[in-house]
Order: sequence, then C-alpha cells, then structure tokens
Amino acid sequence: MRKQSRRQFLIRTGWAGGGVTMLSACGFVPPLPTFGVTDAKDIYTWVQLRPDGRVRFYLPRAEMGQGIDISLAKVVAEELNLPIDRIDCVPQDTDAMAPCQMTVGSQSIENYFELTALTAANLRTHLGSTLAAKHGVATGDVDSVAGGFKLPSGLVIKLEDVIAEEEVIQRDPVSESISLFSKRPAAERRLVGGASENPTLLDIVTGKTTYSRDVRLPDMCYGVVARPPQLGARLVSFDAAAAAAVDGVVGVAQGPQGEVGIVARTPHAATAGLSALAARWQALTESELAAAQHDLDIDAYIEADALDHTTHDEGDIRRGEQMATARIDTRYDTPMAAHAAMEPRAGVAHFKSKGTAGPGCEIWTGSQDPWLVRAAAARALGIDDKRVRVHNCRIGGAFGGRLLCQASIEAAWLSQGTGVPVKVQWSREDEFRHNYVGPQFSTRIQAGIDGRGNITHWHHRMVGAPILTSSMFIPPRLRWAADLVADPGTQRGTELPYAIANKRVSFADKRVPMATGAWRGLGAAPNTFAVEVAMDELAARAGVHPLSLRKRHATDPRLQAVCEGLQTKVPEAQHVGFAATAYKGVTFVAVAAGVETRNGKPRVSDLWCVHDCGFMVDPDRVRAQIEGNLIWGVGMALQEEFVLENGLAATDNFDSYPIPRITDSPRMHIDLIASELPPSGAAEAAFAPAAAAIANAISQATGRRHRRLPIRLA
Amino acid sequence: MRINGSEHTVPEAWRQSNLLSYLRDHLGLTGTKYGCGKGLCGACTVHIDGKASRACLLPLRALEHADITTIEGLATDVDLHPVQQAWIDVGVPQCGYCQAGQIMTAAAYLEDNPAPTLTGIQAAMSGNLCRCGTYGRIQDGVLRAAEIAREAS
Repeated sequence: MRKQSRRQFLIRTGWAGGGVTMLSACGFVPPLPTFGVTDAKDIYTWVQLRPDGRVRFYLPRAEMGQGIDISLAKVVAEELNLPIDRIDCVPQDTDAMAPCQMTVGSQSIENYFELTALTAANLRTHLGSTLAAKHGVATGDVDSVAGGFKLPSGLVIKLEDVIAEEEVIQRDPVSESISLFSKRPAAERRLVGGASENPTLLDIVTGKTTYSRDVRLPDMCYGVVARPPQLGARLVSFDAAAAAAVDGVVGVAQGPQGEVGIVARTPHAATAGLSALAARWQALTESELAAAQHDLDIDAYIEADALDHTTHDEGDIRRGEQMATARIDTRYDTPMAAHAAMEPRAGVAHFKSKGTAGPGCEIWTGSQDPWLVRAAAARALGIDDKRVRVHNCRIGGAFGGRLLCQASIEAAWLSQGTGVPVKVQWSREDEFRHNYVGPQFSTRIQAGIDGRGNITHWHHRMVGAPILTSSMFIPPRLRWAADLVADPGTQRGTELPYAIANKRVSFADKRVPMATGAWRGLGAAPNTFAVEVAMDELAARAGVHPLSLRKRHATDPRLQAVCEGLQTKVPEAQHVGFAATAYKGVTFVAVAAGVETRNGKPRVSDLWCVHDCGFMVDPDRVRAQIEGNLIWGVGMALQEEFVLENGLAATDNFDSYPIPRITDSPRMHIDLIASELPPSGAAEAAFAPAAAAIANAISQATGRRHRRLPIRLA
Repeated sequence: MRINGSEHTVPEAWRQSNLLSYLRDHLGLTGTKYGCGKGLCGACTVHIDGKASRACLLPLRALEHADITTIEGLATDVDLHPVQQAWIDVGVPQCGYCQAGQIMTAAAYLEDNPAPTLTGIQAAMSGNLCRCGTYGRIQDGVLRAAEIAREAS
C-alpha cells in the first residue's frame, strides 16, 4: 500500500472532476442533480485511519435527520472491529471524494450500506495483510479482534499500530470479494442490526453541531439579495449608491441572472442597505397573474382528453364495469405543500480571484447534493467545476427541499462581487416563497367490486405537476423536451400493489408557473391517498373489512403480512381507518388511525403501523423515521396547504402554514418486521398511507366521506 | 448583561440588533437557532432570568442587566443538564435543529414542575415546533429528565 503517494494525490487534485455533474461544463445542459450511485472503484477514500486510532469517515450521504451518520458509522465500526465512538463522521466534501448520488428517495441504506462496508472491510484486510507480511505469517492466520489483530503467537496489535505514525488512506481499489462482517448472522454482529449509543447526539444537545447556518469564517460578512414581490417579476431599477452609503455596507453586487444584493458587516446593516437599495419591480400583468393562479382539475383534463401518459392498460375496463355489483366514481384532491424544514437555508462562500491555479471558490452548504451546488456555483461564477470546493454540513431538515441550497450560490456571487467571505441566510419567508413546492394533485378513480368481494376494474386518472423534471432545474428552453417524459416522481404511488385484471392508469404532469419539485415521497403520499381512500370506499360498498379487501388483492405476500399484522394489533374500535402501501414496490406498510372526539372536534388519538423495510441496520432510527412519517400524515391530512396569492406565497410562515405540534401528536404503536431480506428504505414509506388512514378514520367518525385534503375540522 | 455567566457590553455596531442575531452572528453562540423570526416556532428559546424566552423577538436595548442562559451554558463543567442527558437516553433528535429550543423550554418547565404530567408537558412544549416529528420522544424525554433530576437530588 503506497499510502504516502495517495495522500499527496488527494491533496493535489482531490476528486474534483469526475461524475455526472461534468455534463454541465458544456454549457447547454443545465447543472443537474447527481443521479448515479458512486462506483465501487471510487470509494476507497471514505474510510481513513488516523495515527491516534480514530477513524475519519467521509459520510457519502447528506445527514438531514434520517440518522444515516450513525447507521453507516456502525457499519464502519463493525467492519474495523472498533467501538462506535472511534468513528468521526465528516460531511461530504467535493474535493475529498468522488460524486455521491443525491440523498433522496430513501435509498441511502439500499445503495450505500454495502459500499460503506466494502471500503471499511478493504481497509481492514489491507492492514491485516500488511501485518502478516511484516511478521512473516500467512494472511489467513491474522485474525481481526476487538481494536486490532491477533497474530498466531497470540500477540495483539492495535489497528493504528500496524502502520504507525501515518494516516492510512487506501490507494488500492476495493475488492468486492471481501467477506463483510456487517453481513454475518445476527449473533456474530456487534453493532449492525442492533441498538447502540449515538455519539453525534452529544453535540446536538449541547448546541455544538454545525449546520450551514452556523458556519463562520474570519472577516465574514453578511449578504442579502433583493427578492421579487411576485414570482417572475422583473427587476427594473435600484439605487446602488444609496445602498453603498449605508453604514456597515461593504458593497453591492449583481448575480448572473441580473439579481442584485448587498454585503455588509452585520446582518442588520445588510437589511438597512437592502431598504436603501430601493429595488423596483415590474408587476406581473393580469394575464401572467391569472396563469400563476393555476388550479389542477382532473375533470377538466378528462373532458379535454389531455392525460398524455398511460402507464398501465390491462384487461378491459368496460367488461369490468359490467361485472361489478357496486361501483365508485370519485374524485380526490390534495393541495401544493411546503417542506417547512426547521432550518431556513443558508450558505457561506469565499471567492478568491488569485488562487494558485486561478480564481476559485470554497463553499459551505447544506444540500442533498453538494455536487449540484458545485456545478451551479461554477456556472454562476463563470469558472470550472474543479475550481469550486463544496463542504456539506448537517441539514436542519430537508424532505426533498434541499437539492439545491440557493443561498450558497447567492453567497458565491456576492463574494465574487465584493471580495470578502459572505454568508447568506434565508428568512423563513424566503424559505416559503422562493423554493419549489410539492405539487397539487387531482385524481378521479372509477372502480367496482363484485358480489364475491373481487375488484372488477380500476380506472385511475390523475393530473399533477413535474417533480423530477422540476422547473427549478430545467431552464425554459429545455422544458418542451422534459415534458415529453412521463415524470416518474409525479406518478409514484399510482402503481397499484393490488391484483386487478382490468386496470388503466393515465396521468398528466402539467408544468405550472410555480416551481414544483421533490417533497417527501414525491407522488407517493398524494397518489396513495387517492388509492387508499378509494379502496376504503370499495370495501364499504362491498361490506368487507378494509384490511381483508387489501389482503385479498395484495400481489406481494409481504404486503399481506403487514395488513395481517395490523389487523391483529388494532383493537376493535368504532372510528378506525386503514391504509396500506408497497412503497416503490420494496417497503411494505400498513397504517391504522384512531379518532376520538375532544370538545366536539375529532382528533387523531392513535396511529398504528406495521412496517417491513427488509434488513434494518439501525432499527431505532427506522422507528424514528416512522414516527416522523406518521406525524407528517397528520399534517397532510388536517393542516397543510400552500397557497399562492397575487403571485407570491400567502402561506409564508408558521402562522399561515401550520404544521403539527406536540398537541397534535397521537399515541403511536409501531411494529417493525425483523427481516434478513435486502434493506430498502424507511424515510418516507410510512408517510404514504398515513394521511389516507386518517382521512378514512375521520370519514367513519363524521359519517361523511372526506376526499379533499386538508380536512378542516371546524 | 450576563450571558452564560460572563458580563457583556454590546459594541456600538450591534446595538440595533436583536438578541438572537447578537448571540449567533456576533458572539458565535450558534447553538440557539433562527426558525421563523416571529416567535412562532421556539427554535431560538433561551432563558432570561430563568424564564424561557424567544431571542428572535428581543431587541438588545430591552435586555440591560438581564441574565441570559443559552444552550451552550445549560450544562455544568461536569454534568449535562438532566434534559440534555434524557434527550440522549431517549434518542430524541433527528435533524436536531429545533432541539436546543426544545431543551431550553423543557428545562424551564421542569424547573417549576419537577413532577411533570402529560398535559403539563403538552402545554409547556406546544409552542416549540419540530418538523421531523420527534414529539413522542420529547414527551418521553421530559419524563426521563424529571427522573434523572430526582435520582440526582
């Protein structure tokens, strides 16, 4: 192992260069999110052993509350035979590692568990074989023991003493044939699959954790950007001289799209500078305003025959209709929704016009995709991707809303324009007004059931808006091409987990003026809401138990099993609603909601959940994710609705966009299915059926079917 | 004013600031968080003369002679505050961003209510938002903290 040369290589060139984001260098293609999973040949720098015996672990995922740091740290510790508190997780750094897939879609364990195990196991075997060579014994005779290796003589050598006084960074590509301790039978594992301490919590509870909002550089100044009073309004004029004259203002700078911003010594001086700047905007015209105030109405789309994508067309809907003894023809609507993460985004950037290799920029961000931030910043600054280094930070909640951390890009061009390091901190209002939102969905389902309880047909028609081909990333000139694609994010959740012979699913992903995009689970929650309320209506028509109907039609035995589990778990009570899902076909969840009446008002009192996501690296973090997902169900069912008014978010803080409080939090009863099947995801699966279960329970309690969210319980 | 036990005189350039910005941007006490700027979410909760207060709403000029404790000043040199220890024991935090505010509110509540009740906890904590949905564990955490405090006394 030539570790020294490797280290020099890292310092000299780092990793900047590889990966999907290079596409953006050609100018025509916009900076795009990082879709590809890291190649196994590029993972060997993630795990580094320091001379003091601590392990530096470059976390290949963004940590935003899902607990991927503790989960993957366990894997590293397991492979190296070290206690968990010897692993120091370092957030992503675009100069220290090859590009990692954007942290989305509940895929971190699915795609990075084994890669992490491989790189740590590779370090273990390299150290083992180095030791064997040093002592003239066979590699197979050196055993991994707690904290190090045992030689045939019985001598134990600590891991850090194998190659003393040097940092060990692997140079050789990872061999995929290594035996992984993380995949041994449960009885032989120390950490993976079980409970352990979580060393990262100490910094969180003492206020020491650094989010991007907390980053401070020497001589750092504060930037603010003039923002339009209506989305899409054009900047007409501003008074740079008046702004520059304000005490504490360092400079006025313009961005690549003609944006204008202020940099000042203190945040309040920046605010004072912004008001002196007196930016004037051309108001939207009546017709632009009318277009912005879109409302997606499935019946209008059906009438106009405007559903351009058909994803399922099996059997014959008309024949099914003839066989049915009871039918539904019902419409379901969910509104636009905000992420409302607790940390409004912020970024710090330091642009240096005279670096050793020309101009360059260092950025601290909180992003689900720091390589996207790198590409977008390079584009804004007019420099090469390789000249931008992005340090990721722990994120104060993302939920799909932090693919791009726009504040970092703003900080970059403000730093370029003023020559000082700049921090840009979005306000809560900025966060609601200037990011993308989860789209509105409008659905019509026609379905029927026969006298024996078989579903005869299922005709699902939906209109939503683009998610993966978000207007946030696809510039206007390329949208016509993006719109030819049936957006996989928008349709998620319309693939039925039930066997129905006559089935047709079609939809439209209408590009609306408001930028729409990823929101926890993409289409899964809105579409599962429609599907699972419709299933409940069919069960009621047929007079069968709602879970029995689902079990009878479930195509996967694991979906049947969670429904079965839920049925035995939930006490016979009057007002209980049910829902289930096979999230992306890989995570199986059944949820029940119980409603009680308090002060004459229905309230969700209990949520039951049975959850099967395959093997769980950290069952406690899986449970925590489910708890969060179920609460999100409460918010979606009863509270959340993003409203655009006069071209701007009218819901711009927590008074107008309420999210669940502790007083809205029901008792939770969660069963995790123990499994050795391949791990899937838990970060958004339980959210998908939660709102439907709640709506079904409230329909029972109120005697009136609720098909539009949020349900306002007056 | 006193902040975490030491005396502070606010420099001229910061006199127009609110307490939250002064703590974070001038003093570098970044454990206290900005969440909404309007006292709606509780992320910026600190103790002022022992009471849980929202730092984002407080102009510095209103705080002469105030005794302020932030999340950084809650633990002693030796021990974590019972609420901090309980938060670790129960595994409360997810993203962790709101938790300093949650912990400060819980600590002030327990100071006055060493034997907490479920309804008391709900009422005390209802102004602190958590988007990750850690509420069930926050409730368990407050109960656990009361236990830790009892065991210690």
